[in-house]
Amino acid sequence: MSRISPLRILSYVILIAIVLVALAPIVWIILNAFKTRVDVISYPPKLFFTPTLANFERVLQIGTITRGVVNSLIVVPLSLLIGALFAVPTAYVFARYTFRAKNDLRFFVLSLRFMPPVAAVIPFFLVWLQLGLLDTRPALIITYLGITISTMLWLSIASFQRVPIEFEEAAQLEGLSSLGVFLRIALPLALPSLIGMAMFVFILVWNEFFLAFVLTSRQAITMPVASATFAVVGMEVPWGQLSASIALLMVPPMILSYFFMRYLPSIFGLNAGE
Amino acid sequence: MSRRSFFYVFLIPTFVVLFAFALYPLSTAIYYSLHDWDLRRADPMTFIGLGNYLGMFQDARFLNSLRVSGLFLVGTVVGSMLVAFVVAPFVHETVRSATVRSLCLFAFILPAVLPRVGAAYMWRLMYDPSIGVINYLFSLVNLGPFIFLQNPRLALPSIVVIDVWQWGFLLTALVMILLREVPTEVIEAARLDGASTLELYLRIMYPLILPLSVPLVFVKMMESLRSFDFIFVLTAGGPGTATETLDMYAYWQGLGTAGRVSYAAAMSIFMLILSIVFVTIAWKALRRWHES
Repeated sequence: MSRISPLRILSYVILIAIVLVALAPIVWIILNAFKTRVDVISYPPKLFFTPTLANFERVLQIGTITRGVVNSLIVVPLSLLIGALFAVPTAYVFARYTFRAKNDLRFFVLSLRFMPPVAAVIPFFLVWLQLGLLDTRPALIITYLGITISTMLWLSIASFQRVPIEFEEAAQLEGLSSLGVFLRIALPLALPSLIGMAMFVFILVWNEFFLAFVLTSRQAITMPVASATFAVVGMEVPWGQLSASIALLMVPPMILSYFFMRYLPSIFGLNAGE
Repeated sequence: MSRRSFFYVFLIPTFVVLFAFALYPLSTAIYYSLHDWDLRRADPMTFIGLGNYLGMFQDARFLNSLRVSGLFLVGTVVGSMLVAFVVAPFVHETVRSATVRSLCLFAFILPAVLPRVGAAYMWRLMYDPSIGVINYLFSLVNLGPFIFLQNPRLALPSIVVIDVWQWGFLLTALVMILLREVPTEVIEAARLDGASTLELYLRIMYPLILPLSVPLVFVKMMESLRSFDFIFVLTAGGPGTATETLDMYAYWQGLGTAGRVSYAAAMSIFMLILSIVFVTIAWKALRRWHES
């Protein structure tokens, strides 16, 4: 094979085009976030322009957006943390114990992920309405526990199964209790993979729109809802500010995805022998 | 703590919570779905049995939303699988360096980790008839401008394209991971037999990775049935009802404007049953195909 055949060059050109299609919309919204009002609606669209921070300054003065940022930064980590406290030890039980209802319970956890959000949201809406907790952070956190517990539990089982059981058996022989084996042996060894799974669940909840959209309106509004609703359908859209708010919304998922990338096969059930 | 008490202490509370999360909304929704309850009227709930369920099938707007959901499901699942099974082998064969491969992987994952709301706005701006970059590109070859999202015939395909952009690339990344796992001996043996790259894929690679990608098809199917956020930002179901999916219609009926909670509950229960039946059938069919 010759090193630089025309076919090879063509392949690389196509490859670059494919990567461009994947990334161009993201790059485009980020560019727009730095454009002035005139630049953003100029036609033909401008690729080169003098960047400005005005959109970000303006967006961070909008109460809805700042409340959205604060609420998301409170609601998402808390629902993830509480969810993990429930799910991680239970996942260990699933990985290391045999019991009769195990497969049925596992299927039940999986089926929770099949539940259409629209089926869950109406009852939750009515409960929080009756309790006077509609549009509050505790109500949203509790509702999100349904997502975080079931997803964390499902994903963490594999993390514990990958821990070599010999380590745990050795620790048990040295007199460690079951809780001790879990806390001092299994948990530290599974931790890197558990963190990868937690990042995935963080993104899942950070991006969640439907439940937050129905269950919050003003006080407890989250970032996706805030960005989605400050431009009402049919009205003239403030594209520069909207782009800036979306750029802010995108930052956490983009950073985290780089770190959880290597856990993708287990997240999507692609690992052989599972 | 003994082994036995560890088991009970860490299993039971979690499942009490999870059962509450599953059974409470489910039983409430079933209860409402068997009653007539309208938030706009003051009269109390009355029991009407299966009335809401029977009413759905005389509701043209409901039947339309069923059709839209079906089209969206088929379009996005087939579209993103096609993208994955064409692009992943191409990238896999073109790029040999591990570093460049993982850079490509990262680039392909990015569209899917973005909030759907963000992706939807990005594309709404790009689709815009007067300032959008897509119409600009079409104008370079003297086509357009197209009114993508306000045209009843173009709106649904335009939304499918965005979904395929997010999921097609994510599935590409996952299929690339599967291709990487194919043992080199298998590939070398086929090469020694003089197989071309195309033959190699048709006879060896695709048959090897297709069964492994079954879980991906399921994840994508379930995901396609819950596309509310996406469509809400892009068209809110319009123009008319051209892009009104089941969950969008249930939302408008129950919470958005109409206040027919019981009717919306019946629709969401119907949707749940539909997705369970659908997944079971598809799962069995694919397993049978896999075994034969």
